[in-house]
Amino acid sequence: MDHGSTARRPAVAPFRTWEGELSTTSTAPTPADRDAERAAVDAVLAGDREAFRSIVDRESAAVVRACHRVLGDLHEAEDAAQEAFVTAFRGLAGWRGDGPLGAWIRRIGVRIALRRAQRRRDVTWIDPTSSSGGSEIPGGADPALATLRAERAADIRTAVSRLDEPYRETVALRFFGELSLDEIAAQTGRPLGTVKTHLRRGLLRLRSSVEGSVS
Amino acid sequence: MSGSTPVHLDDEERRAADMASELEQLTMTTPILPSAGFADRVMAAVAREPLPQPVRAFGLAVFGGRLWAAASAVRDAGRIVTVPRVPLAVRAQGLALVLIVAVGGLALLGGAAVGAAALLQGQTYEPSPPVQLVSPSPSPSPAPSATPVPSATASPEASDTPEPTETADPTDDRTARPTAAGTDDHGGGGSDSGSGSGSGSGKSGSDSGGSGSGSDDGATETPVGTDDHGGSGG
Repeated sequence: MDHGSTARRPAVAPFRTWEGELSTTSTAPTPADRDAERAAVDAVLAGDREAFRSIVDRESAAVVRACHRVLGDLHEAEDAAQEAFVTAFRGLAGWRGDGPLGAWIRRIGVRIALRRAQRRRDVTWIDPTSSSGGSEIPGGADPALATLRAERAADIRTAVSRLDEPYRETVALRFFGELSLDEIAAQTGRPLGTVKTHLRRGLLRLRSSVEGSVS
Repeated sequence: MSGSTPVHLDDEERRAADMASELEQLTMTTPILPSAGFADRVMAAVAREPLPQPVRAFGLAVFGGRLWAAASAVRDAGRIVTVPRVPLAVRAQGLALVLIVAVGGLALLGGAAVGAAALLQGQTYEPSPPVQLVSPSPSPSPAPSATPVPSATASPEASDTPEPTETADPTDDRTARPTAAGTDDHGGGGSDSGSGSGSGSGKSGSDSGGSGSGSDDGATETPVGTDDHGGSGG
């Protein structure tokens, strides 16, 4: 998708609302947190398997939440999160430590969840009365309205899982994994400007896809 | 989407912002928390995994026949060698693993290269030369019989001696040897001044190649021409 000349492209100001921190984004880890997670990783690498429990306790909520946003089902999200933790444990020696450990594990979880979402069948059964199932859109007092919103959420999840790379990963890490743009750049090894471009183009493609599916 | 007009660009950005807003609303849900036993289930699954130490993972992968996992372990080992936060013992193990794999790989490559070269040349290694060497030959080499070196070497140089006119006797050759043995056999650069030691005839020193330098007065003309390895005479 060509956006025309770059000279006429405005600066990042119009995107500040979604390039900044999300409302649900947790605060960045403090240096004490970084030291604690590094100590835990060192202990695991030195042979203390139980030291990994502290990492699980600290990051499980965020990882499960990210997987749930991709998959829309808590049980499936927990399975994906468990696979993400096991994968992280297996490759813990490969963690370079150039970013938060939680962001690294969330990226693994989002990728696993996206892979699972791609393997799904196209038809997704939505139960608007379930608290942990499909309906997570607030304001679901009216079952009809809740059903419509749940269908919309399912359409968006499906559209995200069908985006091309790298747009899919960038959008999912930003809005489902709650990673900041700097963290996405650090985790993916791409420049920050490239991440912003991928995010904007991914959103436009996602919008087109959702509108196409609605029409 | 050429973006030729600012209105078009704004519209595009508005569409992106709307989509972002919708995604943000999707994330603003009731708090999703893992179930109570989630951490225990994860730790139970982790307990079935090998420790994330590359050496151990490499060993398990090799014994399990998983080459891809073994290669991944070697890659992780190479990575943790340069990571300063990893404990030194783990880094040392990783370095040892990388070195072992590298040496083993080079050995395999070298063996394969030698084998391929032998195949290409159509040659096989035959141990026939060692067999010949090992078997003791009944006839020793004729070299000892062909080495009458002392007599052969003595006679030509004795013929190089200058005229026998100034020498005392042919028998002086025999008598000169004990004296020459005590003197400089190899001679030195002679000069007429007679500063050196050794035997030699004075004036005929240049022709005879006798060592040293004799005095011109011929007072010490005892052993003439018996120096085997004479230098240049004065």
